[in-house]
Amino acid sequence: MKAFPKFRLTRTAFSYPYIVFAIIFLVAPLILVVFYSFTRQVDNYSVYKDFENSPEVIMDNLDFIGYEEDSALSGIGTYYYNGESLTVVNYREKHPETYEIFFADGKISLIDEYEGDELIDENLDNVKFLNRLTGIYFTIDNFVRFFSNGDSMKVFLRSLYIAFMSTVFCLLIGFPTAYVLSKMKEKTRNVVSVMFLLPMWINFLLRTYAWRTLVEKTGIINTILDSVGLPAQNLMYTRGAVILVMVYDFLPFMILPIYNTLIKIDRSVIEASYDLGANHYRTLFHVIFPLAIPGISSGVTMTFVPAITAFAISKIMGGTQCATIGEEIERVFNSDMWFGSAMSVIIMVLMLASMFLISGRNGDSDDIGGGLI
Amino acid sequence: MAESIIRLENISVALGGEQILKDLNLNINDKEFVTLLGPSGCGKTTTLRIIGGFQRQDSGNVFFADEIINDLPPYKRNVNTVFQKYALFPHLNVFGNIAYGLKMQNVPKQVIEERVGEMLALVNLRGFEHRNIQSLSGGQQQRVAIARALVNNPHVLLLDEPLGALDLKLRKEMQIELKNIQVKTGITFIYVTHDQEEALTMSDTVVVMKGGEIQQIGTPQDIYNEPKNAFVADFIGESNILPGVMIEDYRVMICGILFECVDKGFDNNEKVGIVVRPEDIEIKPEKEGFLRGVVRSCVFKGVHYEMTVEQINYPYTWLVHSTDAAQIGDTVGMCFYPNDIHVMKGEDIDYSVFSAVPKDEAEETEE
Repeated sequence: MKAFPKFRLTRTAFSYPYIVFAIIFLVAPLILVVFYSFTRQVDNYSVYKDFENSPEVIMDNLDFIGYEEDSALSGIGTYYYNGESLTVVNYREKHPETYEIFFADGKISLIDEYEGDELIDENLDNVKFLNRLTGIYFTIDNFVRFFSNGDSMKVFLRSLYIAFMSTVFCLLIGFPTAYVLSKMKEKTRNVVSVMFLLPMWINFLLRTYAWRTLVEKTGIINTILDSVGLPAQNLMYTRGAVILVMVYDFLPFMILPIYNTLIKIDRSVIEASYDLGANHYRTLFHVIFPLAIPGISSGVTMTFVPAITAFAISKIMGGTQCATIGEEIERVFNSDMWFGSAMSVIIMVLMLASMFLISGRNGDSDDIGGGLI
Repeated sequence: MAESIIRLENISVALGGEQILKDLNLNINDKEFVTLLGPSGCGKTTTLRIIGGFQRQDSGNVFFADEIINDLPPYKRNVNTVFQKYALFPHLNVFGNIAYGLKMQNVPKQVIEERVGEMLALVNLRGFEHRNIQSLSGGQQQRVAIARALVNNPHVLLLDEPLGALDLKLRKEMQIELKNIQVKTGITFIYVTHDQEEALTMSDTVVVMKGGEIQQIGTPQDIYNEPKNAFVADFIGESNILPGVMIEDYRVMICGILFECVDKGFDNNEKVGIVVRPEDIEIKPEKEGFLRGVVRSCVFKGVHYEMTVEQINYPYTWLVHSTDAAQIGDTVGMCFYPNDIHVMKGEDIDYSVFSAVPKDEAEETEE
């Protein structure tokens, strides 16, 4: 008798729970979303004049009224249309979703080709095809729809713009902050970095609502402007407001990885640059900045990716005019999860591609390290 | 005498409450190979950093060709540094690293290429222009670091233990190569090391430091043959250090025996320290030596045997290097010539750390 391989508690064994976790919570949803994005379920029965050559719908939304158990799967059964009953049998094995139906004296009856006493050829004009679109079938329509639909594209491009601008501002503020932070003495540095992390302890919805009270029409900023005698500014429900709050929310994710790479830069490399005749600015530009690129790229990824999919911020600060792709996915998903899945797959591919581009650039400077973790 | 290029005047530095340099005065002549030698923490690297401009002194002045350069930032000093761990730019290739200094001076591209080519030839790295820094060996990185500093044609090159990370054979090769480069380029080298052999091999002038103070400045021969104090004697090479009494000029009493020597200028009957190098001691049959002792150990060291000889009637253990082996337990005689006896002012010598104790403890004080 051959014994089962013994289970040994090795170090690898500790990773099994994580692998199980990853399969359940990462791989399975991913496969589902990709599957949805390439399929579509239609409960709708339509009668086409000639399904293969001209998909012109003659009758739509037939109601299903009854079937025998076996025939339910193949669509054979009795249907009801405009008060008339209609029975469907399998017509072609090649196109199991296509059935032939036959109109005779205003009554819809059916012809079974294999038992074909009633010949189709003789009554060609009366031959119609019922396309049973029930069930899940493969299609790329979801993607075509996204790129051909002006509205989706508009939302998509707007999201790209908002995410891009947020990332740029985060970088513009984040790099100098991280640089100053890295130059501080250890004690001050710890205090200041806690100050940057402190807002992250508060729920981010709460933080976003706090900003709302600041920039609202009757908010704090406008109240102050009003009391000084300046005209009130319309800040709410603008792209600016969305970008502002995104920058505020995602700034720590930009600062931390950059700061981490900056403090790891060997002090003597910077001294070498001074030694070779570079002043502070040129050293910053020629040595510190290039060496901080791993941190910058992970900071950019960690800002851009959540920014492009964020929907709460744009919903709260931007209203309907500033709906982002995240909001759009959320909205669409409720009514049409196939299209919603396709949208999220598109975003996912875009993000993976951008991450790949960013990480490919600095592939060989691994030793400097970076990243938040 | 060559003219002075760098002069340190009454330099004092304290870091984190610890006094690193104490009122240091040092004059470095142009075109010389000067080595700052001393154990870790003696302030030699700090001295170098002050010259390079990376460390600000608390008091005192730094002169460069008779001009005070206290406030000049590193990038304005006509001085370049080869850093301890090379400090090459990891994001640039060999060419980029060497060209960096010239690029910062906005030298035309063509000239940069020419100069980098010259430098690569000088350090024997022709054809390495496009190599990645990480793909180079330690020795090659070292050469790049030297080329990177030299390409700017500095007046003075500062080297901070540049060979510390290399293996022994490579280190010896690089020592000779560095010395050749120095002679060829005529640049003043200020070299920091804790390796006394390295210092003696390469230098024109050796500056021995300890505890932030200069112990002795001199040629390698001076430092080795005429150590000014017990620390120098012990740090440079191996020594037998023991107390003696200077009876009068050219006559010294060691272990109750009157020796002739070549030193003078001490007070009569002044207590002094005596240094005798282990290789200067000859092992003779018992009756022929001035001093007698029992051989306690005898270790083959390649060129010579290293023996410890416990002196009879005195608490001293002598370290002897001899090409002839002696049997352990034998009683032997030891003798040395007048010019092998080095006399130092010796009031405050702590003899306990030197030859009277086994050698391995004395070695610990070196590190």
